[in-house]
Amino acid sequence: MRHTHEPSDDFVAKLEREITREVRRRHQPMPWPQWLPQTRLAATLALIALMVASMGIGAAAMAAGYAAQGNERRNQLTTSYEQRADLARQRLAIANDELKAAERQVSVGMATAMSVLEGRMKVAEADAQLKSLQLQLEEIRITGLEPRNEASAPRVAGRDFVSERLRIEMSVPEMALSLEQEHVRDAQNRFAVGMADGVDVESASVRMIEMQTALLTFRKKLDIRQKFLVGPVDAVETELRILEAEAEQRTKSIAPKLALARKEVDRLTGRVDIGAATRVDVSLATLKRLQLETDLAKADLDLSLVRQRIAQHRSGR
Amino acid sequence: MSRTLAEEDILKVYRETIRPLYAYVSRRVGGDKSLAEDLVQDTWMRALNSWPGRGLPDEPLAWLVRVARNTLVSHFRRHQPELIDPASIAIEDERFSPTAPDTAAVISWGLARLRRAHADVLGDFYFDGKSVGEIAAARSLSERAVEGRLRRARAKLKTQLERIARPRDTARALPQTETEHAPHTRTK
Repeated sequence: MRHTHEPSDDFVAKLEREITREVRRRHQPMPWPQWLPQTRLAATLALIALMVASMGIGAAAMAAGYAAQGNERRNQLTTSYEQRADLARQRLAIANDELKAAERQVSVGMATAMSVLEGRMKVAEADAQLKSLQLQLEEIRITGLEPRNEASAPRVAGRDFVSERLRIEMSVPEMALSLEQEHVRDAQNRFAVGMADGVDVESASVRMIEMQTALLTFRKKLDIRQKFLVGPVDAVETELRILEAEAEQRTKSIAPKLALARKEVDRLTGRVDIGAATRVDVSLATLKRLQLETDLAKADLDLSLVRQRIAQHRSGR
Repeated sequence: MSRTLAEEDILKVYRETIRPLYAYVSRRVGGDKSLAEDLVQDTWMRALNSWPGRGLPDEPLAWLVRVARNTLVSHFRRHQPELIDPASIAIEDERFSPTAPDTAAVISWGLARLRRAHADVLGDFYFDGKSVGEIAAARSLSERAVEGRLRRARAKLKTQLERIARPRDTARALPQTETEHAPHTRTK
């Protein structure tokens, strides 16, 4: 008699058959789905196609990410520069109002023509600032980046924003030069009728020279920029030559001021002897002269260093 | 573990282990043939899922018994037995042996809800009929430790079984104090 806890022969045989069938089923390779490539070559080609497609999708995703970042940066910059342009517009409107007020006062003899010139100067400054900001906005809308003002910056979409901005900024010293020329004439007239001394005329002349030098520097920068764009000068030399032009401007601006300061020291020293000036006046004038001599020495040093670097760059060191 | 898994190897293991495995399961279901067959088949299907990836175990019967135990626990956690008369399962009586399907099902249901250490020692004692000395030797414990573990395990099992005791029969249950500290004197 079979024990209660003995399996039946039927069960043992049936489970053995089932295990055998299951083991054999698991040993059989999985049928290759019809939609998969049926040959090794086709599988290889399909794998390559899959890799290329994956790379394409990845690149597209990265490009989309960069584009989104670029758009966000462009929007932020545009907003910031539009706000600055709005402020510049307001400044221009105020300057125009002040100019009209000055013209009205001149027409009724309550102010001199000089105040109209000064009003025009302020209008020119505000106008130049607004136009420069508008140009920067155009550049941002094209590039999505901060505008570049270096002389070695490339053209943007065929446009030379750097030169355009330089010409706009140049309008300010042009207007300032007209104003200073008028100041010189005014000083000379007053000197002729004994209402001003020679120092006033010379001071006005120094400011006029300063504006002429500034104007000359703008022209030089434009010339350097053009030489960079047409090719004979590389980016490094371009920037060095801009530094050279600025150092020359400082030297040329300081030199007439220093000559005037020296004359002023001599004049005050002579007046001390006759009691028309104090030693404090002489000391202050001397201090100013010394400061200008220091500024000039520094400007000369800067100019020498820049020229040395230009020479080194040209010699390939 | 060997990772070679030929059909012949598996069938050899099957033929060597099917009877002790079936006996292990059958005792725990009180000889319920269809349930024992289902659980043994389920155990073997798990083996066929595991062995091709991991290879044949070094001790196939021990592996199968361990899986069968888990299969039993899973089964009895899902299926609650009929309400019982507590008097019919005098677990503190040293002569008690759950040989009938209904009492075995009740004990297995209770064991499925105990800690493994308690369930295993009670399973050895009730279903496999091992003596305290045999359990102690198999588990590298002293007989005194096994006796203590059996006592604690019984108390836990009793608490579990009270959940499925028929209310009208509760009064007929043996007073706990009478057998609480009964010595385990089964010898083999």
